[in-house]
Amino acid sequence: MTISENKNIYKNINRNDVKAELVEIFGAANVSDKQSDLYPYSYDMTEAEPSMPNFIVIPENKEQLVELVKFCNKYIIPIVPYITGNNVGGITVPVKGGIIVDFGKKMNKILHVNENMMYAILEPGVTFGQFKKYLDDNYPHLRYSYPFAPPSAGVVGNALLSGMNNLSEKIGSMGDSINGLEVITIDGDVARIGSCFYGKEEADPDHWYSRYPMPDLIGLFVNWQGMTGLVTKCAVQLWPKDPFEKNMVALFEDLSSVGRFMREVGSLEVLNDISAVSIEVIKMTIELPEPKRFPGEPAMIANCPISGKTQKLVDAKLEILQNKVKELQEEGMPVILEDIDDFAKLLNLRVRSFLDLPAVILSLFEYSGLTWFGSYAPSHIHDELIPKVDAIFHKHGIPPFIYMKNMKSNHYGIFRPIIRYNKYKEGEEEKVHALLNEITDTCIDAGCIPYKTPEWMTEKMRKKINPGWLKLFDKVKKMMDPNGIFNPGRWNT
Amino acid sequence: MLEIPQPEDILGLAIKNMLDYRKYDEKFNTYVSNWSKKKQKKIVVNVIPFYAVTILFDGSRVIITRGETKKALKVTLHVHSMLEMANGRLGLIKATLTRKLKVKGIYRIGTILKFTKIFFTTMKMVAAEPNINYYELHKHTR
Repeated sequence: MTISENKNIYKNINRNDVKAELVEIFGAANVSDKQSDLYPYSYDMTEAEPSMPNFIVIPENKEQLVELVKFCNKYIIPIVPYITGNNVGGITVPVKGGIIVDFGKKMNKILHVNENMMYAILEPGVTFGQFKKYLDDNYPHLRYSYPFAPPSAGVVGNALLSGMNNLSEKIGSMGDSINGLEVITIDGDVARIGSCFYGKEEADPDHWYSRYPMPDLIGLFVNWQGMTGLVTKCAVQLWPKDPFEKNMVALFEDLSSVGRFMREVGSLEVLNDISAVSIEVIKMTIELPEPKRFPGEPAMIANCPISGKTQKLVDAKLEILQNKVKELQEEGMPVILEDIDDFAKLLNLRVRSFLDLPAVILSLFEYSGLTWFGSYAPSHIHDELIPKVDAIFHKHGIPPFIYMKNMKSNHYGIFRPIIRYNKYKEGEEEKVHALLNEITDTCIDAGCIPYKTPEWMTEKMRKKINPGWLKLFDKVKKMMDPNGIFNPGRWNT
Repeated sequence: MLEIPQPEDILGLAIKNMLDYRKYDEKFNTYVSNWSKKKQKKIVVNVIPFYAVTILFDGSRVIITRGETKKALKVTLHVHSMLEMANGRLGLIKATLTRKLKVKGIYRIGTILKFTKIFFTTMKMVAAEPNINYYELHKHTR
């Protein structure tokens, strides 16, 4: 990796004037254009082409950001939101330069928790680790839903990008958990969206309870990768924390039965979540960085967590699950169901990092590079995709890392092949990109819709998307950001 | 102290995890070195429905490899029975009497008892107190 050149954003204003204005808004201590400060914002974990920002700013409040948006829109200077840098798809790489708004440093407060209606209002910089600790310390009867991600990842970014969580079977995507947003739109207006829309200045903190029944404008900001405005507050739903838990694991002798198992078991409505990984991922977790799969080994394993208000409820849910597994076994499905704690104690307790989320999962962060094809998928295509993508990994000489879920009682699926690699090894990024490209073609052809997408991926999608959608998308983008200053380049804008 | 090279298969890794738990335990080291003096140094553990691994006791080294070896004591059990035994829900005698645990090969009852101390007792110890510092290592980030 090398430092890329700074982009020219000074067509309408000179560099010194930009700096003076930023210092005026944020204070000198919260503005930098030093190359050494800018460099960490020029890349992410993936093979996305690095690109240097021209400035970074560290905001403390929305008033500063209102001024920033007005200024940048006037002089057509790109703004790229940034939280903690756990990004994929190059989504915070400033491909056209501009100003990085780093929310992670100061706009990271948990502003309010409503116990009764179970939601929290957060600033964009709140991390999963911080949020979990806060809830465990102050509201131990409540929980959030945590993704397969480290404690340092941002909660609001995950929700705005429709990330995953460990209550996915119950609640679906994190985008569905958003109750309300406060956003700064292109002309510097502050809009509150959702039931928090009453109130001229500030909303009553106990009124961020729903996104309905008014027109649902939250969709203008969810999955737009920062292309339509700057989110400054986000209300997310919390859930009661069940006191009784049981975690089961399904071991599969082959790859072809995993998809059906997840659909059948997912629609029982007894699990909090169901996610499966290649056996290689388990080995990576217990310190085998380049694992092989040997004949006779389980090919994949699925994590099936159950919880309940009473032990009897947990036992009843477990009975339903076990009966279904028995039925599948009698039909010839090569699957075994065991208590994951029994399994982890003998194999290695690090396996529990899949349950104790958010966690530092060795298989994700062992190497300097990580890239993926994270996608939503019709769950029936998992049957075909798992062996196909597994074979593509083998063809490229890279250990398979497939992570998948079924969502919201099996209404849809998630299919996520992940690739770890050494960013600093000559030729490695090209090798990894060739693999990812082939996986992308295969999965998009099968009907998968990637999220947290790099531009080259959205370019492939655009060829398949109906023209009416693309026209509407472009019209909305133009309306929300006529000068193209909000995270330009995303989705080939 | 025992030396146990890292295998690459999942069952071998589980057995290494178990044996590692007691590698500083003098009593356990004695069991293993006594076992190594025997003619029959190899034990095959066949875990149904997956596969078999061979454990070779060679002085202070314990080598775990995939697959079966002839002229070895062979222990066959289902993965479920293995987990039940480790967690104290199925005893050795009951497992043997109900054929959930099968032992084959040239052996004497004394051999079985010694292997029990090496393998099954260790398995139970690991399951009862599985401290490999996972929680300690992660207490600030979990």
